Amino acid sequence: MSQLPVQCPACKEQLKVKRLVCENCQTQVEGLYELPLLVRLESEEQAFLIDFLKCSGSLKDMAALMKLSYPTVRNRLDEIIDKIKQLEKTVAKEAKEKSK
Amino acid sequence: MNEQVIPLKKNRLIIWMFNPFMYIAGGQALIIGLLVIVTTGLIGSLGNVHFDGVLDMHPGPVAPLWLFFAEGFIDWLSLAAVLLVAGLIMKGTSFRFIDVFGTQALARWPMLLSAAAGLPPANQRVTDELLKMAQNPNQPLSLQPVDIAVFAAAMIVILIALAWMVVLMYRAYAVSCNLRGAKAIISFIAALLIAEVASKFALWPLFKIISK
Repeated sequence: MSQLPVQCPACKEQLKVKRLVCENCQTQVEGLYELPLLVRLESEEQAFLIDFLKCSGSLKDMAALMKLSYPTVRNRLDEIIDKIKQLEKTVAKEAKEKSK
Repeated sequence: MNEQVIPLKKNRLIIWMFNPFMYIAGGQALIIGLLVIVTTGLIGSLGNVHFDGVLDMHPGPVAPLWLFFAEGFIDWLSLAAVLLVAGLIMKGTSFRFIDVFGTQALARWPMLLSAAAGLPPANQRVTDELLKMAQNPNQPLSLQPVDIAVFAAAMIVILIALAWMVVLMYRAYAVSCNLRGAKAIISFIAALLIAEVASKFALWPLFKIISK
């Protein structure tokens, strides 16, 4: 299956969901839905977070799984945390602008 | 597991050469690093090569084995302690002390090459002649061409190993304390200079003991 695009290829703005389809009965739901925050992360970052959850949040286990050193894995997690914080700020800013 | 979580576009060999801390840190790096320091001291004692400062390496006087070990440990601890403080001041996130000490110990491994390069007796002969010339500039140099060639080759190896070690020390600091950019470079240079002075002060009393 092709990867879910989260950014507009033309203007780089955040994409939203306009239509959802049931593959079974072809029912279509139309609207304007925000993409969840986690979906906005890169697929590599999502995979990292899934692995991290599977390791019960243990950086040591994560390092062993990825065959990388502990600080390398921790630094990667810190990068993702920073990105999530940045995304949260963007979402809050967008919501504030909309409410005006 | 997705193997692409951390892209490994760089050649693995290059990463192992210049940033092994991507794969090794903590206790594992500490054990290997301590073995490196002890081995460097042993090889240094065979050729009377002294590491009398974080970045220093000189042919020197005959000394007891303990001094060669002490030099390595003081050099390592001086820099690791100063970088730990620098990391705590500069930190963006938390880090483990064992990563700082372990990776800094491992970063000293190019000194093994330096110690080995300093082994040939030709180095000592050239150094002695140069010292004599410095004390009495009118005295002509009496050196064999082979000795000069060996000394020149050793100097090249030592300089490359020194530059390599500094790169490793910086990478170890950046990975252990999760620092990047100008903040990491400036704090590393400052820490290196402070540690160099601190190690000289710490080693000075030991050299006084053996000179008695």
